[in-house]
Amino acid sequence: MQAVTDALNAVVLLLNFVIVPGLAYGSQLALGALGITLVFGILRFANFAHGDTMAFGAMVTILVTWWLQSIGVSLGPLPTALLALPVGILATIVMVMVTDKLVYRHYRHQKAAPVTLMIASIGVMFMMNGIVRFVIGPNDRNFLDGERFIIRARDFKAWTGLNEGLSVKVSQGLTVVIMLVCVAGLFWLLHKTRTGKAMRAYSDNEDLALLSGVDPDRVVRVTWILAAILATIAGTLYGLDKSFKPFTYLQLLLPMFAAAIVGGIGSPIGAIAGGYVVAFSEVVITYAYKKVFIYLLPQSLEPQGLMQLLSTDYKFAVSFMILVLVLLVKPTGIVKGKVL
Amino acid sequence: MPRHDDQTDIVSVQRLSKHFGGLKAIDNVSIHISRGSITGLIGPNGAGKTTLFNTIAGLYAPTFGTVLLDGEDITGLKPHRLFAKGLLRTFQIAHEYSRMSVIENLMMVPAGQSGESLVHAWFRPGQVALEEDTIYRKAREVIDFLNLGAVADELAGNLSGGQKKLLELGRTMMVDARIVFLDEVGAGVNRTLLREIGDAIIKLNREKGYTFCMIEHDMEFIRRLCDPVICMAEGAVLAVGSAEEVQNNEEVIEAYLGRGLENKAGFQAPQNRSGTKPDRSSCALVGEEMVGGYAGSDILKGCAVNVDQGEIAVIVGPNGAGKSTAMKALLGMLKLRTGSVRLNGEEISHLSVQERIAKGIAFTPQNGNIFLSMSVRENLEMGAFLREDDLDETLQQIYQLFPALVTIQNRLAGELSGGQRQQVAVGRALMSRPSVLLLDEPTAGVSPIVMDDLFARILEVRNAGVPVLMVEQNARQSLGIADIGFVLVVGENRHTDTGQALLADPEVRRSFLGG
Repeated sequence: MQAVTDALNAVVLLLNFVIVPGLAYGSQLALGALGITLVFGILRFANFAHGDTMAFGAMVTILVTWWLQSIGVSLGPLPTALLALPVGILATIVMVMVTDKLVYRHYRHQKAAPVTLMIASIGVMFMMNGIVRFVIGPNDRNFLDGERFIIRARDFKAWTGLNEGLSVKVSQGLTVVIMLVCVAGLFWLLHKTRTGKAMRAYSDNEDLALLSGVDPDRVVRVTWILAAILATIAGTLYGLDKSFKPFTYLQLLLPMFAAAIVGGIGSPIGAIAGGYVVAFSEVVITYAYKKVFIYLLPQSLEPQGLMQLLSTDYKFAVSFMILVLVLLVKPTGIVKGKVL
Repeated sequence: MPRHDDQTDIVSVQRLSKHFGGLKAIDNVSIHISRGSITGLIGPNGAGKTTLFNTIAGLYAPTFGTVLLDGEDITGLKPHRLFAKGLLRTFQIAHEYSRMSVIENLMMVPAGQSGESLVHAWFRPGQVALEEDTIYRKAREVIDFLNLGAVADELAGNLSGGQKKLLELGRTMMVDARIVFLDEVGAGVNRTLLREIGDAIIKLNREKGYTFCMIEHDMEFIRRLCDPVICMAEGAVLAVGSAEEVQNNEEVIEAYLGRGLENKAGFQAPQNRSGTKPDRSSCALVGEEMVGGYAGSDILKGCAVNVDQGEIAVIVGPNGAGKSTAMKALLGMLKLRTGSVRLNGEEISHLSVQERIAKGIAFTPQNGNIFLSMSVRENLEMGAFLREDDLDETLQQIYQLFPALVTIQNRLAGELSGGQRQQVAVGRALMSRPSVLLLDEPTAGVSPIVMDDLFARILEVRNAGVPVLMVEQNARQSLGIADIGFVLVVGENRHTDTGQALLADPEVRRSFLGG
């Protein structure tokens, strides 16, 4: 009986510290990588400004949230940020359209090489980063309100009688649900609507799409709008789950690109798969398994150390390693995408 | 085949074969290039000329056979080893260092210069300078020889196409070449420069004793320079002789016309047609007096093509005649300097490609003509992208025309065979219910059986009421089903008549060789 309880405790530990956070983080990465992959597939360049587009969207959402909180509006158990999200999305769409008009359109009409557009996007990245820090400041900002947990560790323990508790935060649940809705919506758009088919056709064979009567300006516009929506949602969800700090979005660029490339850049399904691969690799490699082993192994074999493969300080190294490995071994990614 | 005395052969190719998987690109080819000759290599597209060059020049390892250079076995040696032995080749697309000047390009050529080593550059600057001086003088000589003096210090990237070809030639003069293989030096070069290049080759041959072997499509150029001329077709040597002999060789003409029908049973040649409509200016799609080209040089020099209701019109002609260019002009991909394009009587020459498509022209390009990552059905739907109405009826019509597509409609187009892809491509174009269909080489690269089937389908498209205008390599078969054929030579109409009449005309047959 003790052995069964120990095993259950170990499973709950893993659920609590690996599976649940991994799912939430993976969903956030997947949403970010989807935006990167869409822009790459259609505008044909690696958009380095995507991380800071997320930060910009989250920033506007936070400002509106604060305003809503100050006038006493709330969503009850759900975070008020959800109410502010549409405003954040609209502002980000405007921002992205303006950058396209001012920066990318010029290079696109010149038929500039992808690397030129990529460098331009790095410039845009620094600009956006500057704006965000200027407006909201470089520090941590908290904007989460409403109920904090779906399942509390204490309640879980009381309910199951186990030693280990499982807690699921509202933000984690929301992240997974919203990501599922977004992905379903995106796939419906890409596969069932005229606009979506035009986008896929344009991404597949630009010349033939033009010969079929596809309007390239419209495709580009819709792509930017989708990228802005995905970026704002991903940025806000990440901020709700962790906390909002402009610099972290710059750091997120690496795991998001890793996710897009691992999955096969240009492929939406690949971006989602890649998001989870990268997220779980990070969590699995940096989690300290000491307590799990204590539950599972006989007392005599109890580990002394933390049983951690890599300190959490190095978690970005994990995505970097995955990135390098994929580029070396299978540059087209899991779902066969374009080669960078 | 005339055998040369081994003494005079500089290069002797014996039973050389190069297979790519099941494809025999060249098969059992034996040729002899005698010292001091300018040997021409001609043949229709896909004859294996460039493969032969690449196999001799070490880019491909031969499947079997041997290549002798002055009696020495050089089979399978790498290009740089062959370079050292004096076997040089130029490429059809000039390979220059575009950010270096012409003279620097030439000075790059000699291998193993002592200045390449840091040790020498630092500790023996005198010798390096001396050597560089010699090379510089040689480069100057070459530049004078080729009349490139005016552009000696110009960046090679800024040269015209023809000047780049001269520079390619110049690079072969920087080392002691024994034999130079030239791959289409004439391609994309205007007449005047072509004459100059020809002069330079003759001068090199006479004064410096260079041996040349050249792939060329321009028969006038070949006649002027080459003796003997070797004609290849389908990976084998077809004829060897003087330019005159080869050009009048019936087998050679047949090869240029393309193969005939495998199975005539499924076909009816256009019949009950008493010639074509005499007044062609009121046809469904008309291009008249079209003049235009790329980068200042005209490819089309006043050519006219057209197609009327219920017709298949075919544009044929030798390589470089401007066939595809004429089609691009109709479609608006090429801006015409002068001339008129009319669709059902309406002037459309000022419209963009997209506007012309919206007006009812459909086009199937030769390459990249399907969406590989989309299903067959989605490909067809994309063809009707501009239509707002119900597609079901048209889809059923397409499936009737191409029954093979029904069972594969949910498969990704990228998984299909070449023949199936071509059907999807034509089907996609037809989905817009066009008033005229343009096809650019619909049968390029497909197997003979598939080719027959495709021609049969194209006939049915015409019978379904869509006029078809196509550019074709296989002149015999396409003219066989054509109501009207246009034979273009160097951007002008050489002959226009019914397909059958053109096929029967010996002069037309000869013009395919590009004479």
